[in-house]
Amino acid sequence: METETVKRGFAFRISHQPDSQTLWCTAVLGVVGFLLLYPLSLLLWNSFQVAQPNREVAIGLANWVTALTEPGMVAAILNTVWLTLVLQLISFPVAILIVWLLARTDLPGKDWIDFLFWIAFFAPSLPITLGWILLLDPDFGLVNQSLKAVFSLEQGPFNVYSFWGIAWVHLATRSVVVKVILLTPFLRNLDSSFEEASRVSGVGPLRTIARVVVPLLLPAVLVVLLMSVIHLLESFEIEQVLGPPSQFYVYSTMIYRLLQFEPPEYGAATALAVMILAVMTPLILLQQWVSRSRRYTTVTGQFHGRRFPLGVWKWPAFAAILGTGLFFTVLPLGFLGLATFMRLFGFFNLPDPWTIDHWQRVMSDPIFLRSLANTILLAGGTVTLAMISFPLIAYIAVRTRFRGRHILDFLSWLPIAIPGLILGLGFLWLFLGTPVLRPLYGSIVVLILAAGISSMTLGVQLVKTNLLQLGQELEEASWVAGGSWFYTVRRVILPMLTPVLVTVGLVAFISAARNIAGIALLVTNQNRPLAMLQLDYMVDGRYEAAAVVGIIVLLLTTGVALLARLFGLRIGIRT
Amino acid sequence: MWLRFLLCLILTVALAACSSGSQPDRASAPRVPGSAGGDWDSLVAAAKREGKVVVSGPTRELWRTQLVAFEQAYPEIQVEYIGANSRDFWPRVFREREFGQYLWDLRVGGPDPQVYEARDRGALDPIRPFLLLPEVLDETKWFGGMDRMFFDREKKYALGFVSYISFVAYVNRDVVPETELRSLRDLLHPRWRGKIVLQDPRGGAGLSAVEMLLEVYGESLVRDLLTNQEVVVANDLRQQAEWLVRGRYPIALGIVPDAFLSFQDQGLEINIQPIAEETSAIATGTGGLQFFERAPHPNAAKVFMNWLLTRAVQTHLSAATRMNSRRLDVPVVHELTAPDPERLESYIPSQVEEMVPIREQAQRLARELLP
Amino acid sequence: MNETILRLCEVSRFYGPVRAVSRVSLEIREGELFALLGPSGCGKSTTLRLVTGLERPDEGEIYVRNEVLSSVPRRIFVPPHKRNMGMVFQSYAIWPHLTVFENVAYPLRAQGVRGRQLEKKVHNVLELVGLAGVGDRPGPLLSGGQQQRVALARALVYEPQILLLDEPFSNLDAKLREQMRLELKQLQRRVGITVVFVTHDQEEALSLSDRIAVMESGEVAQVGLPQELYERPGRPFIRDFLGKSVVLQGEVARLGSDHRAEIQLVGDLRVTLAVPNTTFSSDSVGQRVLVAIRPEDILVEEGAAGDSCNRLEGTIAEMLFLGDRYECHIRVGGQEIILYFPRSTPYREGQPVRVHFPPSALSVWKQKQ
Repeated sequence: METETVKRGFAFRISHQPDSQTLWCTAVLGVVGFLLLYPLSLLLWNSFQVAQPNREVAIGLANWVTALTEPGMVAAILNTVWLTLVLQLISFPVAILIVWLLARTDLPGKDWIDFLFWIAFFAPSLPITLGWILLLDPDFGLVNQSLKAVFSLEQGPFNVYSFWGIAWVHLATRSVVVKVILLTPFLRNLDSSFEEASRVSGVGPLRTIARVVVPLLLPAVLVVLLMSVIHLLESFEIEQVLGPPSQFYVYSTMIYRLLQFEPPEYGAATALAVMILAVMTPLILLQQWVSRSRRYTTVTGQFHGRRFPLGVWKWPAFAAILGTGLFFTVLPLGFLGLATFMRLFGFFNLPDPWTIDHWQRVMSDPIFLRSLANTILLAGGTVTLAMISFPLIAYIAVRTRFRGRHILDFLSWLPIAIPGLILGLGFLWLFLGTPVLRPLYGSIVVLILAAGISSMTLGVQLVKTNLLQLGQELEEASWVAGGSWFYTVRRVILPMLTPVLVTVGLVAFISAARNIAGIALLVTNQNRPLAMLQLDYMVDGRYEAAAVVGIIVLLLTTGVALLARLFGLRIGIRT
Repeated sequence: MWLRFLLCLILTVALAACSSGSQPDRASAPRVPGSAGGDWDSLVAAAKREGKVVVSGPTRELWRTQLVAFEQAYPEIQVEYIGANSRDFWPRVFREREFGQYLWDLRVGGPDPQVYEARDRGALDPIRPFLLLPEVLDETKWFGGMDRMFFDREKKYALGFVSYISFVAYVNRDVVPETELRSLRDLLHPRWRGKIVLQDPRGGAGLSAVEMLLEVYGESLVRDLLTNQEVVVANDLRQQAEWLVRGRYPIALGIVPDAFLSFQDQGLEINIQPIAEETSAIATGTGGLQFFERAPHPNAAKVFMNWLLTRAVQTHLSAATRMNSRRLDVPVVHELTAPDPERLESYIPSQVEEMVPIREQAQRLARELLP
Repeated sequence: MNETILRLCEVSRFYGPVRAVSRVSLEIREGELFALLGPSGCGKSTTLRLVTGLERPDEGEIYVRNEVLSSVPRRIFVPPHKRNMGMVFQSYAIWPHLTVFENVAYPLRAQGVRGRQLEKKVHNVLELVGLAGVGDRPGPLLSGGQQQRVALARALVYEPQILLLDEPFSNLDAKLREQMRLELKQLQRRVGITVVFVTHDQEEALSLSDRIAVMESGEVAQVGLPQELYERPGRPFIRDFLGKSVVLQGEVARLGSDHRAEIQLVGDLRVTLAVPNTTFSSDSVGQRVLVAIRPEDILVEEGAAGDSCNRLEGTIAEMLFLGDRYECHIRVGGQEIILYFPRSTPYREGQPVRVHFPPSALSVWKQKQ
């Protein structure tokens, strides 16, 4: 019998107890589950508590009934469905075409044109909405007025206070731009041989996009579409400003209005929010199923990153994309400029319409500097938290055999399905009600956690979808070559995830910097960020000062984005 | 697997729920027995020892500046000021108190129903016993005397230091001259269909306007107005003011003068006048004060509340906010909305607790009739 | 004989009810080129992954020399990055975000090797695989063959004891495949490393390896030298998988003396074949059997003269020109058999021929009922 040796230093005992990987995964699942389900269950419970006239509380469905029978609810739901459909049908093909041109062809200037879309994404949407009112108001809108003069019309043809006005403003601000930003990393990860095969079989580029590119990217496409739909379900800023004259209300307006009551009706609002979740659940499950049902690996060890030559279309395409990019940036920046340098936004007939007064007043506001510092801390902290936790959660959901991974994946969808206003109350409960977290109440850490949870869905899903594109062998090759798990993560996984991580980081940064609803109930004197200052100005009717804050946030984020770009472009897949 | 997960979850929630609730709060001073009638100087000394007062108030910068000026009068007492909407503020305070966190000394804000709810929950201590300064206690200095200064039933919890006439409707007279629209009843004329913009009637000034119409003219007028006149509901003050000023909707209900006066400040010529009323409402707007039970710095709070009500402070405050002070020895800053002390009884105080049922009825009507 | 370097003892891997690898036992000797051969789904790739540690066995033990890599009964498992083996994946798994140099340097860096020593080792191994000077190129810009060499270089740079290859040539075109096979063999001889490779291509396995393990449905069907497996396959499956066979049906007619039996062919062939008797006893008479012979062992005779034992008459039905030879389909009775003729053959389609099955080249198989 030969003697055997065992490398005891390295081998570990398997037993029927879970090994260290399972323990870690369970810990992550536990923490995430707690942070999400605790506030949600409290909110849900709250929705069943009906306030009685004698200030007692009874358990019942009255809040749900109120919510569903709120006058105008049916119209709001129909409006929402209709608006969602129209926006997705228009913005998605436009966005895909733009991204394809930027990521997969030899379009000149593709490295910096996409930055224009980032700037557009960072711009605050409310001043831009007001800018469009300036142009398209049926009576005073500049475009209408000039068209009336030129064509001797009775009435200007455009009415911004209408369904199409609202849809237009959505398209001109977020709808297209967000999709472009989110889809770019995924298109970069496509091995060009898929498209080349399509071309060789005689299929033109547009149909190749539809038949080859989109199906290959199906998980990413579904994630982006789903996010867009949910965002739409919760966005109400634009509808709030443009809706009243035509009484166009959407679902999120109904939620918002319930909270405008004296006293705010959180119970009924939560009921409506939970219903969003109920509607979203089958779509989320569909996305999960699609991600699991096939292999979407497009980055293997035989990756080819060749670019599609545009030939004679090169310069026309360049002009078109550049024009589009400029449309999304120059026009809004113009509006922002107007908003901050005019005494009263849109009033040109004042004796002295231009001023730098607003800038002066904002920057000399005693709490301005502290708010700015808090915003930087908040956004920076959120990004750090995001960069650590989102890839971790995504990795567990995709690459391990941990049995709770599907639950973890589903949990990561929850934050986005609950509107920020409701989530804010949930966070309040979470931080007040958990002994571990309570000492943090009132500090910036609480805001960081809240902002981090708010952006969890996008971050986790993007990273997860990107992981699906990366062949598992790339990790296995590292293990066999002697890389431990941490080494593999550091040298293989994270570098290949860098483009999507940059996107996730920047989106997390800006959403933390802009987050109002989710943190409104948690701010104190110490941790107030700029977003709250902006809200204060808005509530006060000082749109111009609010626009100044918006531009400052835009500048801040653009600076960070530039840095991130320089960093990210040096890492990642070399093409 | 699901079962295991569920069990863990339930355990976690149960643990969290059990351990929360009856926690001793971390920063509370022991309850100070009411020092009504105590020495002002010893109060100030005690306040200085506390060193700080935590005040929540309106978010507007000028309120903040005015209220933080307390530090100039009392340099040893720091003012921690947090601006918050009442809609965001009260739910948060209630939650905090549920979890044993007593973080606030004073709230500067109008006496809306949540204030009365706070009193019912025992979250408020009375203010009246702690007003000490002679100039504050002088009955002759307050419009309607000190009783009318308090809006709650017991006349000691919710104080209002502003009084202005809250007109129901303002009209852009460049668009709609006086001759065409004289009284509130004229609003029902079909000519004004689609020309009226109402501030969100779920609360605030918008609700006050509906409340007044209901109280003075009755439910049928309100129903007629809200059902037939295609009233547009504005979601924010600036938007409503701009529509009024531009003439898109030349009639605005539930608007506060300051909203369109700021246009005038920037150089715009405007001609906006209220519709004359036989019976007008008096309101205090956001110019109210409440004192928290178990305040962490009760003595500093008492000094603050007295300071706030002095003539000097009220003068500065009203000049800055353009809202007339309730003090009669403070100059009137806005003539149009200054109530006449001679006609005291003809005004309806719209924010007092007795009006709450009417207010709630107005809210119900608005909710039902306006989509 | 060299000592055993890699030993698998009764190793199994299940996926639910499916036994992907079932009680596989193998002993691989140091310095040999060992092939795992079989059709898709036979478990060969899984077995390889069990050796690397990318999969965990459900039963059995794996040793390298005297070290336990994995033992289910003793609950020991050494993770892949501690096993010091080199592996080339089917897709090569070249990291797209690194250059060729960095790809190859990766294992050394993971071990903490730096500086001059690192550079030297990397350049040496790149030269070994014929890629000197390509170091700075990014991974995605290489051709298939180059990527494979990089993968090989990366697997060899840290001088592992065992090199594992998963279908290393299946992604290459035919010419490159032959060239790479030869290079691999030469490399292996030069470096002296033990190589285990997985393939479904029997030609590859036969030509490259010192020994082959043929796998079917998760089990090892037979292990042996290539020639052994080819000439004396233990199972019909192996017989048919390796090379081609001509198979005829028949019945045991008579048992003869001197270890011979006579098989009566069924069908239109009224011929009796004499075969070596290694399996039949007296009660085998009448049993249905299959008679198999390799095409290259079939002899073609002119004319009808001579011994008529084991000879069949037939006609050339078709002759397909394959470039270097002819594939010839001959109708014998009601059946068709395939032979190969050299390019210079005088035979033509439609010509009658006589085929001779030398008894020593025949193998007899029990036919499944």
